[in-house]
Amino acid sequence: MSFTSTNDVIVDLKEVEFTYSGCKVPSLKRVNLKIRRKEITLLTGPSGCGKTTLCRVLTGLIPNFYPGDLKGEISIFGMDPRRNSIKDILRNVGMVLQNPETQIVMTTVFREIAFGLENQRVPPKIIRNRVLDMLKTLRMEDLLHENVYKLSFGQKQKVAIASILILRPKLLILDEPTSYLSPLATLELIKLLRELHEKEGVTILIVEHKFDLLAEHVTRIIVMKNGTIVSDGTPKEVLSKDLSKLYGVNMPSLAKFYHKLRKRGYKMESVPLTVREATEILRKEMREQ
Amino acid sequence: MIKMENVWFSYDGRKYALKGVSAEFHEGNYYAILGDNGSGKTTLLKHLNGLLRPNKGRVLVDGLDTKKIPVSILSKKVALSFQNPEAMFFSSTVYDEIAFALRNFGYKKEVIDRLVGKVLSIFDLDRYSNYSPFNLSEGEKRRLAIACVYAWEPKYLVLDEPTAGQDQIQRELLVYVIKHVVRQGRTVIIASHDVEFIAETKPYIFLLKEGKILREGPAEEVLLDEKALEKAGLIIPYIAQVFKSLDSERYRKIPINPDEASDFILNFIKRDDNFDGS
Repeated sequence: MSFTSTNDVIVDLKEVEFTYSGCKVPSLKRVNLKIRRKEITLLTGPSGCGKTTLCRVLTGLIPNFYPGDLKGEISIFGMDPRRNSIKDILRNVGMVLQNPETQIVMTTVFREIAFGLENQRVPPKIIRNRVLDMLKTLRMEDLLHENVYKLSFGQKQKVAIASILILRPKLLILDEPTSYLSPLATLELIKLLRELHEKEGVTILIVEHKFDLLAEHVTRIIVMKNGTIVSDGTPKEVLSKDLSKLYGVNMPSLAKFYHKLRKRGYKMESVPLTVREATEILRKEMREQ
Repeated sequence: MIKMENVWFSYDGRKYALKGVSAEFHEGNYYAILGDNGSGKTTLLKHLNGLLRPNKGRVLVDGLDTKKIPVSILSKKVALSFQNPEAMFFSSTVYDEIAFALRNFGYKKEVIDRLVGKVLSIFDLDRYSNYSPFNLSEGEKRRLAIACVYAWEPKYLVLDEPTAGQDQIQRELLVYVIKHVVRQGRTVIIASHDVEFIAETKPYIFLLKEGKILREGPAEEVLLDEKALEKAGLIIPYIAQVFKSLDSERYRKIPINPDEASDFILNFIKRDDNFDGS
């Protein structure tokens, strides 16, 4: 099977449009999107551009939970949220919500993370081991029996992420998972996602406004504005456009640096994604001066 | 000035969230509390307006001990915007949400209308005036949370992770708000782990680790202290990492943000041109 075989396409949206009930303006307009197996995609765009709405289509929450007018062709692992239930779709797709407090339902950290596995009737012993492993990776072992509501907001975000990761969905969607995480916690999450990706071939879609630490780890960046996709490509391709100026996107600081220089008449060899790359490019250019 | 003197605090009488914190926040300055998740940042902020009171030590707001003065009086001076905006909303419209505190403070209707109108426009929320706050997007909710506390022009503006989930436009707005407030001689105190934002706005920093202040100082110094940052769950800004490994100390101060970095490179080129010419 070749890499681009159609079997690899797990999400296929054609000309998708959605208008929330009671709204006049569509929140999604002519969205065409194919997601292939094992891709790690970053979805970004200014506030209100339709990122979260798109995620809600991919999880079947639209139109099953958020009613409205949904048009276009949709295939999510062969399913269409207008015909299939949320439950069916969530067999393959897992989503971490933006605000962890809307996701947390249980009392202790352990019970919250074990909740999904308990629903899947996994034996208690296995659940315990998996939860402990997950907590260890996230440096939260000592919070095992802590009341979730007593944790800091960032710690709650980590619990919310852990409770979805542990279900090992085929397509994992994370809506601004790092917004309340420290850089250290963000790097830990990235490490965990990479492991999941390498070991289990999980496909990942991350929605984020701030992606300094993420940029080098994703295979694709998609930018949305006003309900539609305005840019889509490899991180290098997409970041070589000045997304801040064009779309109000908060670019990684290395990309901001590249564009600031460019605006002032100095063009670096290419837009750097990592510290090492930036250092190499600059070292070379400074030597040439 | 807000002064914290050896503040200890525990939520459950068992584990201490703050362990002997001392800090001063002066008028007309901009401060940031940085630290890992669960390091005590939010707990510290909640002490500034008396929402939490120390178990040991004391907090003085313009000389007033927060243990002796009700929150209602303190919060007129010290406005705190929460991390989770939904925790502070309860009005049925965005307009009422912003007007709430102003009404409580007994302002006249005309004044309230004027202030709310101004705030709605600064924070680009005009079109949502009659919306329920709960129907806004997460990013807009956070913007509204800041707008609410900005409205009554408090002497101390305290913001918990104001850049979380904000796009470039909102970040620029925030930079404007911070500059504006500080220029008026008022004080801004934020909690954050957004190192890149801190590098761009350069506050005076308190690094917090497990309830203790690990280090304090101007952003230009603290953001280059790799060891201290790492202990606090943070990393050096990417730009600074690049110029550190370029050994740029040899030339001048290490740039910590994109603006300084592009200045550095252009100056470097210019200087070399002169070199060639001489």
